[in-house]
Amino acid sequence: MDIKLSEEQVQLQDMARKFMDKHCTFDVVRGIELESDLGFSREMWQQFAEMGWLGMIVPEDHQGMGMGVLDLVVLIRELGRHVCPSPFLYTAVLAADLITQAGSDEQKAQILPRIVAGESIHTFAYQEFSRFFHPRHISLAATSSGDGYSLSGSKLFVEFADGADTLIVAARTSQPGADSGLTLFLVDRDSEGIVTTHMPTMARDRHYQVDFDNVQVPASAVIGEPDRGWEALEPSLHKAIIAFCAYTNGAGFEMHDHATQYAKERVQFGRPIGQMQTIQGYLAQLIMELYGADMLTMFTAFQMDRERHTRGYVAKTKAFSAETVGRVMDVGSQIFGGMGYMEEQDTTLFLRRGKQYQLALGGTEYWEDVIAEEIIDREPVVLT
Amino acid sequence: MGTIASTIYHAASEEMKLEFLPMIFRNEGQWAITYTEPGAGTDIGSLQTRAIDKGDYFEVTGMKHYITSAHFCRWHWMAVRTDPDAPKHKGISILIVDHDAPGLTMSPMNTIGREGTTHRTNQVFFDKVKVPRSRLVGEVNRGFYYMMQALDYERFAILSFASRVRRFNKIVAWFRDADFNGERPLEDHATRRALARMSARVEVGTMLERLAICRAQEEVPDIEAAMNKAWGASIGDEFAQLALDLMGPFGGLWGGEHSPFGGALADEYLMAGHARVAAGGVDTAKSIIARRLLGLPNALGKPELPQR
Repeated sequence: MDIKLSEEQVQLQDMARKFMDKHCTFDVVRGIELESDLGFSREMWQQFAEMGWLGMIVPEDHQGMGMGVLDLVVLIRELGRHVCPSPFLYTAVLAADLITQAGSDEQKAQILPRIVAGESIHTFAYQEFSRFFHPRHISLAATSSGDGYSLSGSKLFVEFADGADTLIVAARTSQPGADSGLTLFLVDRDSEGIVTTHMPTMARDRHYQVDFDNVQVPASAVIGEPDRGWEALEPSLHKAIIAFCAYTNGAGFEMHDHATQYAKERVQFGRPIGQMQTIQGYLAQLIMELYGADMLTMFTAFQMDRERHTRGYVAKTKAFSAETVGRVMDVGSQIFGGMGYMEEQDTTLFLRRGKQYQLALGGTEYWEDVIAEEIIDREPVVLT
Repeated sequence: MGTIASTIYHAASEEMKLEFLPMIFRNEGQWAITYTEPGAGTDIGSLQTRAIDKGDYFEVTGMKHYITSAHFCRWHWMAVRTDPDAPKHKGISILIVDHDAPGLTMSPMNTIGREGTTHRTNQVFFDKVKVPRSRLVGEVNRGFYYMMQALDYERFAILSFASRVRRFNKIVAWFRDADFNGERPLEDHATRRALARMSARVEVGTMLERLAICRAQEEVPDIEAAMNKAWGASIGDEFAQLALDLMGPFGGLWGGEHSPFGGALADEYLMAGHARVAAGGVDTAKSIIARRLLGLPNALGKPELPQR
């Protein structure tokens, strides 16, 4: 895409593209969908580690590369083009940033180098039985127990829960029904009292219900301060959201490329269907929206790296990117006619995911609420 | 600046640059873009206004319409047919025509709009108007090429997105203070979400404009300008519609005590259509994206344009 990337960013993009083209083909993705209980490839994860990708935003003091969110966006867009299933977002972005920003020195020293080396996979246990993403809907209880806490309750939509080593759990320690009053815990996946149940999705990714029955965790497992979990989580979650948008934008661009190519090749009435203005109109509208989503993602990443107030921009990016990618997958499939809905067709990998992306990590209603808070309830921050 | 100055700068003789560029930079003398004819709108290459080469001058005869600035312009930046026998795109030239030249007359065409506001465009008639040869821009019969290149800038210049953002922010500010007998619109979840959704779409417009500006540093931003045009115009329309919808029955008021912004919102709604058709319609912009960015074949089966 078209804002000027640095030479290093262009190299990163090229390297990522070559690697993904070779190692994450659509056949590989299908294989993971149908045959893997983990939902990702451990072999590929090790290769990510060897290339330094898992430490991109980890500080250099902890064996990372100390790079920024914009660098991350450049890389993850390529993962998205291949709908690469991996816990990258939760481990190398959310956990890495959360521990860097809010973790204790001990947590940083213990966990960050292991994330970088590919030895520790994290996932995010947040959503509960609610249609909404707002933290006020979190009620999984963490109560004091001996020197630590005892967790009881259920988390839903915990991706890769069976392949992860550590769950980042948002639990309620005070102020029920409020956005505040949460505490974040690092919980060993194999702790006693944890039961996981697969939640099958149309995307064939690996989501789980995770039930906690008096799971004992030490006080040293708390990330940041007790009762201040959401306050610590939100900035890191926002970085993960921007990374996720880069991923879905990449998937959108790839789908669009396939649909455009098909429109050039498919002949009906003696001419390529891409010569029909209706088809051209669809493809032009979609690519314009993808450019918009991509620019917004990169712009927000750029501003995050400058530590500006980006809350409104993040929300706009997620709301718009998610809606865009859903539409690209739908309309793109329609251009393929009946073929667009045949299981063996590669683009169905994208179609099955498009809407799911929109629903993930806060649906549009959550992010529109955040936008409203930022543009209505306060004077909007305009970044240039 | 976008159309005329850039074309003079890139294509015209040194004498013409010296005569006109300083004047444009000092903002002296208004210009009209005088292209459109009854039979030549989107298909601008079909224009018929004839300029006969008489040696040291051209004799111009024909009729133009939708010439928006004609009633206060000093110069016409005008497209004419100089070679009726050449293929239609290869017989067009650009002339600079003095608005006071003998043989040039005009009549107003009123656009929709409130009484007392100036909503006017014009028909302009040319009856054997003499135009000195020194007022030919660049080379003869290269006019279509100059026009297309300038339109790539105009699509981008005609829609300054910043003004839309300001208007959107004003609407949000208006809602912040609004009180309908105790009903506060911004306590209503549906209203909040509608404005939030719109603000994301407005932000995308700012981003596409930023993209066009970045591109313009290096080359003609044809694709980005088309995106800027198509998105900007559609969004202008969307938010005019939304603002009216959110005002309930008050949105359509053109004046009086209860009219929001003194009727300016209804004006905005009516004028949103103008942005969609100016400098080539939204659909034309999408065709440009489809052909030049995506490399799709022309709908008429013509050869593809060179892809960037």
